[in-house]
Amino acid sequence: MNRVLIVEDQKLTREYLENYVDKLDGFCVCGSIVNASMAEIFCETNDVDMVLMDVCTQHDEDGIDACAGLKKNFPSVNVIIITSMVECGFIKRAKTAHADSFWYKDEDTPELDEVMKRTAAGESVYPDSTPTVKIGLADSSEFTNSELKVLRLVAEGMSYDEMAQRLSISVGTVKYHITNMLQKTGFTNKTRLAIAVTNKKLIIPRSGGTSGL
Amino acid sequence: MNDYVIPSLGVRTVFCAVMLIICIIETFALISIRTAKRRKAYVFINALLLTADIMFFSLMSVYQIGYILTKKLTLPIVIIAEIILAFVPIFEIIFNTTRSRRVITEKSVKNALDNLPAGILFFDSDSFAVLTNHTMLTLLNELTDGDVRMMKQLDDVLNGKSPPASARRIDADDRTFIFSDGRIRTFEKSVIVCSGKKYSQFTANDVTDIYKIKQELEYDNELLRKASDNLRMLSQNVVTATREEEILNFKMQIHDDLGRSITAVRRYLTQNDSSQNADELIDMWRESVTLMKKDNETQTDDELGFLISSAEKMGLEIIIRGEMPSGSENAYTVISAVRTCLINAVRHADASKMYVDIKRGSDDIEIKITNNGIPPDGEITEGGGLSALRRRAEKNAGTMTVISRPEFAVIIKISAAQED
Repeated sequence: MNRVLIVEDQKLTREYLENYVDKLDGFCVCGSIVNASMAEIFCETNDVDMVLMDVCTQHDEDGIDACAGLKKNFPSVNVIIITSMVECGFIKRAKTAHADSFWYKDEDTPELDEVMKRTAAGESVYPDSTPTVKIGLADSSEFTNSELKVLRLVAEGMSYDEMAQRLSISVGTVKYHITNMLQKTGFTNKTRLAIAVTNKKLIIPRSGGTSGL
Repeated sequence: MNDYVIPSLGVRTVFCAVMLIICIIETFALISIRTAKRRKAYVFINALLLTADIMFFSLMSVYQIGYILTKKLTLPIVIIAEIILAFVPIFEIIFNTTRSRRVITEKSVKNALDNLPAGILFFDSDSFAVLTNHTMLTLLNELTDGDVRMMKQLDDVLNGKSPPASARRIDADDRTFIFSDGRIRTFEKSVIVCSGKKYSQFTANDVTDIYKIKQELEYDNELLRKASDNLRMLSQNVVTATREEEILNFKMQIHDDLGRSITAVRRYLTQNDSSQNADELIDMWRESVTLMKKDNETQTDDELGFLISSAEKMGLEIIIRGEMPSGSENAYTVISAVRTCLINAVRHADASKMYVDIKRGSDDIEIKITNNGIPPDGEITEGGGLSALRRRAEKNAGTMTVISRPEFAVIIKISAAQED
């Protein structure tokens, strides 16, 4: 029997997941908490085999950061990152934090039970890519990695100079990337672009955490 | 030869002298015009000389004096010479007029000033107006309703001490006015030095197009400011908005599940539908009701209580001395510090007691955490937990100090202003 810890700050979602896990053969809920930073303490004092970890938890504690600490001290515990945000950096961060699997709440396939069973069997289940959302006239999959890095800083309201300094590139290169994105999306200025990506949750400003992007 | 009239010696002498003088004056006039400042006067002199030349030429033709004076010269040569001398001034006038168009004269300076689209006005060091152009004259009529002879008249209007006559000031702090032609002009004053004398120069420049662009830019900037505010609010609320969306999705799912349960039970009861047995229906209802029941239960999240009870399970007693801060932000900083130090006390110090001392100052709150465990071997290197704790403490201008010797301690100071 896999003992599952649920880390989810929304009560309704948490209770739905508790119900869901309890109905699964071979799984049972051993606890549910609202704050990702408490997961390690819980694992110290309880027998946990698997953690369903939400990314944004109470007090803005980052689930992916908590996963990094958890995997370091409890490597045998399987951690599945779950989120409904299509933030483009989450998958990469989750892999860096050594999360075993990753599941998007709003995607049809695979189902959570399949992910949990495959993860318990030792498999690492990750989506091939971040779900595609429409940003203006473009699909989010049309943005390059460099453009996404610049886009994140645009969404955080940085100036050209600040972005150049942060990314260690020239201001001209920053403007080049922004111009390309504006051409792809059809937006007339970077503020509208930033609003669009934030609205669609492709970029969650200041969600870089510490387990890096 | 007998057809010619021979004047007296006196007449011949006077005529020769006059002709000689005319030639000398013409020569000097010819030279002087090229260098003279007052070319108009010399052009006038040239015209006089030309007239005199023509008169004497006429006289000469009647008396044939040239022939008498210069017997060696034939009459036509003298006449030709005289014609040349007479017409030199004509050519000089034409040349001078053409040349004057290429040479900067006082008139050309004035013409240029008058043709400027901007208004310009100069006052001398005694504040008397000395030079202006047509554009400025027109503007002054709308500013001061009359001639401006003294600089103070114009200064008072530009500085707002006197109201403008018919022009309208655009900006109270700016020397910018809108005139009856719908154009906007801005006035600037500067001091120039010319030939060792100081002059005050006033210019009036048409800034209508720039002003319109500036208004459009201000409008666009306002839109951008609003967009930035929206973006900031959006980024602050996107997590909250997502959570609410999730809750709504789950609620809809519960609603759908409940609907299915009701439909199935009704069908079972009214139509004797045997496709589902009673046990399955009961399970379906139980799931829906359980979820709704849980939703109605209140749940308190006592994180400090959780830490204390977890610590007990790990064989560590947490002793809190002092009052927990009332502000949620500060209270969570204490909880984060307790959590981080608890893990380190259990894993590295093998402690059995951990002390949390909270002291309240006038402006700040000090949290000091120590334990009775094994002191660290050397200086502590901040790992993920302590680094995250430091970021949280410093987020609101707080400080964190980690002491390794003689015993481990974490001291955090946070502002009491964060209190609710």
